[in-house]
Amino acid sequence: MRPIRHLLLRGLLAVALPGMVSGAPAENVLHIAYLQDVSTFDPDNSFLLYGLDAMRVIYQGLVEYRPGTTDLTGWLAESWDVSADGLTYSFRLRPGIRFHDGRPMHAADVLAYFRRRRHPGLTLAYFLDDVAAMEAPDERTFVIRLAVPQPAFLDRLASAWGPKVIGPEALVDHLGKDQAQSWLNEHEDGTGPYRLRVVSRGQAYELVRFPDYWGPPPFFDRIEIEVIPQMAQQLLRLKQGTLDLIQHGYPFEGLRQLPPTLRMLAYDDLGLELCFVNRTRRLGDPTLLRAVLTAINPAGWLGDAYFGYAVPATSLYPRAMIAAPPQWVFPSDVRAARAMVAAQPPVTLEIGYPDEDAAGQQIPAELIAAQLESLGIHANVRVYPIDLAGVFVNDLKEAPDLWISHNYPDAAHPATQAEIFFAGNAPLNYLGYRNPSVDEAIASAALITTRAERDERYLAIARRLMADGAILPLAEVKNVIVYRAGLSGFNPRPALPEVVDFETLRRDAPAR
Amino acid sequence: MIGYLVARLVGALAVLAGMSLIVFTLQQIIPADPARAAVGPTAPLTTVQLKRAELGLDQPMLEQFGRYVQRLSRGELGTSTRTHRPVTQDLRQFLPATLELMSFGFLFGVALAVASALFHLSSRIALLLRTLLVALGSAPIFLIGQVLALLLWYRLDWFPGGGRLDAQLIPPDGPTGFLVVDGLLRGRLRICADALHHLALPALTLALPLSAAVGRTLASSIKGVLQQTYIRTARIKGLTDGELLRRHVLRNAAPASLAMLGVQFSIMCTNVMIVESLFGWPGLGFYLVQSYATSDLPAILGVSMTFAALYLSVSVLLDLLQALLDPRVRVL
Amino acid sequence: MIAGRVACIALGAMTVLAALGPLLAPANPLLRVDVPYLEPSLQHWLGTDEIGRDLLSRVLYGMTRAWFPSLVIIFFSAAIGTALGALGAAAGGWVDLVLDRLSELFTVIPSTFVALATVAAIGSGTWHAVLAISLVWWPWYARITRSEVRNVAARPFVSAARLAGVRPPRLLTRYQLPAAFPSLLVAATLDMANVILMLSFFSFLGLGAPAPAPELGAMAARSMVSLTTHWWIPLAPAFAIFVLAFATNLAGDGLRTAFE
Repeated sequence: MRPIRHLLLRGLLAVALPGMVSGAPAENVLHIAYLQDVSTFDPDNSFLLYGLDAMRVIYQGLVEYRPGTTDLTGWLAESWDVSADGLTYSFRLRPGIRFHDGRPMHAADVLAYFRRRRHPGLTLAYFLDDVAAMEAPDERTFVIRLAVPQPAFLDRLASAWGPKVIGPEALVDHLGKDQAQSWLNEHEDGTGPYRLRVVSRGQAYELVRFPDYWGPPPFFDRIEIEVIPQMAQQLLRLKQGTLDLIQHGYPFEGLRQLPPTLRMLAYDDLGLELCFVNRTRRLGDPTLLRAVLTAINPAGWLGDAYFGYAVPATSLYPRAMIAAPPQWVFPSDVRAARAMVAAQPPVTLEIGYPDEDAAGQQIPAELIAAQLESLGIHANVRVYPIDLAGVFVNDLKEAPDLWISHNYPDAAHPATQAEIFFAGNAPLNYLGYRNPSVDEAIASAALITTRAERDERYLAIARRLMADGAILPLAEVKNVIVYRAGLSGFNPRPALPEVVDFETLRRDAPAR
Repeated sequence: MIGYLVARLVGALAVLAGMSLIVFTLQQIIPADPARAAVGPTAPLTTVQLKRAELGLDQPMLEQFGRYVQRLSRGELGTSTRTHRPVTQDLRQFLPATLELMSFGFLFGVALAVASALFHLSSRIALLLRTLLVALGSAPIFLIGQVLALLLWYRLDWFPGGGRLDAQLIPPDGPTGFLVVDGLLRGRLRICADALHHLALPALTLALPLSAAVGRTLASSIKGVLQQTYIRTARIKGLTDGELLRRHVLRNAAPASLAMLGVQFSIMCTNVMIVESLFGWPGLGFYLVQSYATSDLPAILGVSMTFAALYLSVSVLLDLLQALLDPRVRVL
Repeated sequence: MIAGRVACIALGAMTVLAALGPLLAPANPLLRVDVPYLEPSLQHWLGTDEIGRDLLSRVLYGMTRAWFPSLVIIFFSAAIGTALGALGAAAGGWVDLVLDRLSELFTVIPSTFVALATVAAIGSGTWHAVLAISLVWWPWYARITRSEVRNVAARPFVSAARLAGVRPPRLLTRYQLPAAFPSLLVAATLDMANVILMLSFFSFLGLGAPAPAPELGAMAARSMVSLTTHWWIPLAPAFAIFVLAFATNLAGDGLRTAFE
């Protein structure tokens, strides 16, 4: 769709500059963008959402999820065994795997990597907290022994943030005193189909196909990643054709009239829009809370926020994790709520949301504020940097009254949701809800192996939290990929947030 | 003259010292925890504590300031908690882009200002021009950027709207970091042209408010000068308009405009944050906005010092220029 | 003289209009009136924003929120600046040097860091931003006062007064400051526009009043993503800022012409 002038200019330049017109076949290049910079390419230290798709094709773990499902399948491991007592996991590794530095991967390398992952200075070390011992009895066998049974263990290994084997160029050649953390900021030594090249930190990255990859070669020779922090810019570039897709964040109301060159793919993931409530201040009052719940009720604003791409959540778990009928009903009597508010002294509430994915949370938060306003409650809406959010977990002095966020569990097992958001010591228990009996329930539920009983236990925990008014389910929002026509093979996985599978992505039609 | 220069430089250093103290104090007031920001919200408390010790955050204030000054004198500005690299390395990467953008914005601005001031001399379009300049100076920087982007990029497609260079081109590993200059030096004219093409919109956005303010100041100064008796004397003596302009008018009209230029440059330092974000320009302003979003204290403070130093240098240069033009100023 | 009168009338009119903003608004700027992203129509003259609130009402309220805090900033900084500038010029010597360096220090610190201090220390918000900006804004007035006072000091009528035995304090208040007043007034009026713009800059960066308050800069920033699809949503508040600043600038210009 470029104007003729540009086509002519390109044609002229193509002829004028030697080397551009040669006998070599044209390269297949994909152009994507991130809204924020990748914090680090170290798979054991990266907790942000940006870069997970790149990480997935640079590094690989033992197991992964099958596309479109939460079923596990082998990745670097071609098969595995779990002992009857649930404590010993034996993995049979695939043959013929090479690291990007050329060296072959054996079980000893996997062991060395897993040892590195456990280093206490690394952000994601907690994944291997319950591990008692690890060994590599032969070249293709890797064994992990847990101290206590952990039914969620394999899911954790398949997590987007799970352990992914790093090779000797990092762990041997550049180990240094910091476990190779600084080297891994800008370099990599993985086993995946693409190699990383940091073109310019904070601006541009490049994934280049790895010729010695053990699996079938991916379609694209190169993937160019640019950091474009303004969604408005990304939209323009997508429409112009200099960007190939937007994985997340395309304005929902814009989906109603997509230009003819663009297509969209909407799918369910494990993300859940939740509202956390601060019960230590104004909302400790149950009558006020009931009135406020009338305003928070998604039925009143969901359509205006997501234009049909979201449904009210049924429980505190996404349906892809636990499919259940609605476990909670919001009060809906607006008139009663107004009367309740009018009978009280004037109230001002603080609503907060995290700056990661600020664009996505701004509209729901402001809609809820408008709903509260119509009841007679004034609400202020603020963004909080993610590290302040970590403070609120323990210290509620400066915490808002309501916290709206879009949350992803570590993996598809409900334990990874409960242990991160609901437990007393959970790192993302945003407004510090503490209930020892809930903690006990979470600990015992983690040991159940039968699916039906496990789900019922976790749902019971959720019901308790909702009845206590601590955490409320808002919505399950579809993730929508908007892309230029001709692309296919996205293979999204619910447990991998906003991750497009570059290994299977292909372009069926000419680029321009 | 030399004495004046030395005095100004010493003064500038004192200002920088004061700046470093303020910047350090800010670091203490802010409640955000840089250690937590570095390791992320899901990291256990032990990891956070390890990071705190690493960053030296539990030491007494005086000791921290001591370490801070020590590092500052060695040119160390700490490590960014977002990019995990030394701030000086990030500065080296992003500063040239901002310097290039601001230089061109400055040049365009001055050129437009002088042009508009000279056009003022023709009384027919003076009123229209004046109103136009006032309008330009009244527009918020994001409005100017939005309108230029919408019209010249989105609608007309005359200029690209993002980045410094076309994605297909590889920038030269040049000596200056200025793509236009490096392209020229390396004989790669296509880079030079493309860089200019990309510079056009953001530099123009920065230039317009500056040119409006400086243009008006210059125009009114020139008008003031032209009314002076010595101009009449010079005309009677037989000086041509051109000589008049050069020898008397510009020299005497300059001081007020130079002062305004200094003020506008300081405003440009803050405008550059918004312009770089709007146009996806990978410079220090864009870097600063990202640092704010992630509470990256070392980066925020390091960039503040850089902008302060930049403004001070320009301020000293402008004062020097003023002193050259107006001997009276040197008596300070 | 006509220009001066027009200028004063314009300024007065702006103040009245800004005060009336809330009364002229057809709807509550915080309540949803319809579906979001409605185009301008007879029902809603500027359409609805991304939440479904009436955009015209929000812009009108926003203009009020831009005007009055700016006036406060001008008064504060002019007061502080004039006092300090006159003091420095009159005292001379090291007092003058210190004050001059002090005002330079404040001009060096780009206001963004005052912003950071504000957000950190006392929280963000309109009046916090006002305080923060006033603290960095006075040097401009100090310098004008100082330079005017010194210029005037060289003039014959002041030298005559000094020779006649008038003491320095009186010299300052009776002769020098009044001579500086016209420049200061013009500067303040012209500065008003700059203050409006600076306040909108803070608001754009998210350091003004928190959402859902109808602050023009914040409204422009938050709706930037709609620039190519519903361009009136981010452009209307930005344009409103322009209108305010433009009117003030024209008034200031008129005033300046009147004094020349």
